[in-house]
Amino acid sequence: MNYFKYIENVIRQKGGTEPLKGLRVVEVTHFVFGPTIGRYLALLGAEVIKVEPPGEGDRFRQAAIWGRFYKLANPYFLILNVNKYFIATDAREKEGREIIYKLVKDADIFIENLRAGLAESMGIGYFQLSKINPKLIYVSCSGYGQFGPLSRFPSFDVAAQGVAGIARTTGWPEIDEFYKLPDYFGDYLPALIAVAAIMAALIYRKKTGTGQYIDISQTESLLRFHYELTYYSITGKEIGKTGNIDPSASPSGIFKTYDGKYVAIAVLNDEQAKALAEVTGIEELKKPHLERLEPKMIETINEKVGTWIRSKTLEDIISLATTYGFPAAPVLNDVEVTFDKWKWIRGTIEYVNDRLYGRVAVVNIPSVFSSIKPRIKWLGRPVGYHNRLVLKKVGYSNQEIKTLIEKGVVGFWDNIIGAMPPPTWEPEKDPVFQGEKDELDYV
Amino acid sequence: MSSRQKVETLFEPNNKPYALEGVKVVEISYTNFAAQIAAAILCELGADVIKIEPLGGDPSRYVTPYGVLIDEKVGIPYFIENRCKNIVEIDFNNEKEKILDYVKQSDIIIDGYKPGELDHLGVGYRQIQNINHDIIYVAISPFGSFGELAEKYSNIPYSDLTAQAYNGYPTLIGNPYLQGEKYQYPLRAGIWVATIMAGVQAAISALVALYWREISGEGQFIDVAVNEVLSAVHLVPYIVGFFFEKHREKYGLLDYIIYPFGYYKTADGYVSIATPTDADFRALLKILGLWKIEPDWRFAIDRISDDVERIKELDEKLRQAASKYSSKKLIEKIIRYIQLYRKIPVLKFIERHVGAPVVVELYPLKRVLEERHWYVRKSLQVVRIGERDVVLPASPFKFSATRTKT
Repeated sequence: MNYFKYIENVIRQKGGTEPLKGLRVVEVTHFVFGPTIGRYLALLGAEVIKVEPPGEGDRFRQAAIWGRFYKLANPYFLILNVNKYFIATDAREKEGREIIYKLVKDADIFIENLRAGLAESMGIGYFQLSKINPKLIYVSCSGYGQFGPLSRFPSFDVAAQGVAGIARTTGWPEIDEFYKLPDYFGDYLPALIAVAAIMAALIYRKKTGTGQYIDISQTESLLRFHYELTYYSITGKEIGKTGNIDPSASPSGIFKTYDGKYVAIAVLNDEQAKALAEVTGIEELKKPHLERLEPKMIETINEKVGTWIRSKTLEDIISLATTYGFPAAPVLNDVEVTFDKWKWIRGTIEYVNDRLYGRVAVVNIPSVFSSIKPRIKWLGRPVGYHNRLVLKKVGYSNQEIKTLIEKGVVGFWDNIIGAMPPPTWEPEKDPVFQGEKDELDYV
Repeated sequence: MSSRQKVETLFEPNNKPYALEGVKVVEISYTNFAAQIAAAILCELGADVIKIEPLGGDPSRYVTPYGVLIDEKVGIPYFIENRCKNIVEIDFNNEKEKILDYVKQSDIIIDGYKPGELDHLGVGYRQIQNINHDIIYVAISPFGSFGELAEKYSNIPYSDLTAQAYNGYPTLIGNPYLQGEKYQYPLRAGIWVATIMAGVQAAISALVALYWREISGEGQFIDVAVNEVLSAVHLVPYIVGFFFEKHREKYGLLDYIIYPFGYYKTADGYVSIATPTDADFRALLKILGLWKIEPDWRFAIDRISDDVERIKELDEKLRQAASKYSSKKLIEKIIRYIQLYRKIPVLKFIERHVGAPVVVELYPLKRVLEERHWYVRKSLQVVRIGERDVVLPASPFKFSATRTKT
């Protein structure tokens, strides 16, 4: 059988279990770094309880793209926080802290991305929580890590990119500006590093029964892949901004086609160069890779390749790349990325019918597995939406819950956009909000 | 002992075991750095990794900035991503049995060849799962290993730049206000963003599968497509595409959620400026002496319109203001501002309304390398190679109970 058909059968035949089912995660997180970790674990089947301060909640609720909200919620927040349970209490108050202790007692993983040191001063640091639950895997996420001279330095995605020296690499050489890696790369990369760390810690705990403390930072996750630092230590030179040239690939760049579209090309080895030489007739492409990487040579080759590309349509180029085997791709935009049929077939993006927000396209974890299946079940919820349900899950009686709500130990949303429920929602008709049913009863 | 010291002692390596003690990984890849990174991550976590290369080696060895080699042998990215692995060269046509011997005893296979190529050679998932039933097999390629389009484009090899392009990333980078045709072009990110994200994603997938195998005894096939991982992890392109049906253009120093959020030139260097909340932004205006423009830009919504022309006025004012101070002076002013307000007891209650803009210097590489913090935390290491001291990144994983290796 054809390989692609065979793999398709393998993927479609097997089951769809959730590998982290039965694990409980408690997260005290905000913005992007921390919540992304919980998102992965929740998509893989863990029960993730997000603790927010009452009222405004996670401040990222207000951070809507172009300031546009959807049914009084921030669509970015809704999708970043899928499959989670939302409880709102103030950890700085003793009674709020008691609730967190109770949640942590039977939890497997705790995640926080507060300023380094803040969790401990709030009474929910590693030393405090590991006493309550010694098998706990506790993850701290910060800009620079929990110890060391910079550990109390302020951070945020762009700042981390700046301190790690990553920011020095993107831009035009002749323009005196540096551009950030967009879309919060400095949050998403360390978040994935943290997920990898948690999975390794879970495997270790499964074998030994031991929990542990994990310290992940934005800057160090970026440094890990900052090859130019090593280049500097060898040559004493900073490569700096190189526009669209990748100094490890020749040719390399983004070029304009005959039909006015942009195409990216980057050649990484001699086979690919030969393939491109065959189509273009450019002699320099027959030189070995290391010779082609001479700075002047990259420019010469790029110029010739650019001229050739201007005589071809985008479709021509992609078709030639397919036939001859050299790296080429169109430069897509957000809309093209979203509605690319290929990803919908892979299941990377799918429509979800949410009880509160209706039919929404949501991105899943971008790996296709044959034996397990990450599932999108529900979207983000208003501040404190699952208070009753979560308290019930950890053993509070109805009377205790009523008291906690009356005393304001657990709170709900303020009437601000991003924190509150959709306009037509009716609390008395929502059994999940009342704590009578679970979200899982509806999926 | 202070709590920070207490934390520090937790992370001392001592004689801790590896988290992935005894896990065996075989990587078979060809000019594919996403695959090399995936296996490198597993190796850092303690797995034993064998990288199988064809006779003459994986050409990745020479994929390196301007051809610079370490110890005149291999390139920088190759050295970093493979330093932890055992490299073996095998004649794929005549020594197939050797490959099968390796995979027979392994837990995880990372396949970074062209989709279907190892299958064709008789050492792909189809053949391996016959001799090793609970194998975890991760295939990494630009368009994946199943479906019509994957098959159609399977001959297009991996590169980071093309993967960035297909993920829509370069469309967003650059300054929208620059004149001239050249600057209207999409602009690449200066590091291998698409490769890094796909490599880490693949490593996570392998670990999830390994955990699942511990529970169920079941192995599996995992397909990772470098052309989709970056944008899918970032979520934003899909949210913009689905909810607004309109794409973003390049936005340079601007942003669509938080503004300002980028790098500003000072009198003697550059700083990162981020004002996550309105309060932070207001504080920034006070510090920069721009308070009189506050009414026009008070709320996030005023500052993040998709109309870049409207924001231009504010952007120019901020740039001008920032350029008047040295980086150090600017940061000092901010620290003084924050300390002043924190001293007023009544303001304790409304601390978060006072605002604290994040302003940090943008480090040139020399300064990054000199920063003591990384050496205290062992996130950079100096290694003597040949005649030279070479600085290499160490593992970003800090565990209290387990150890990492590089």
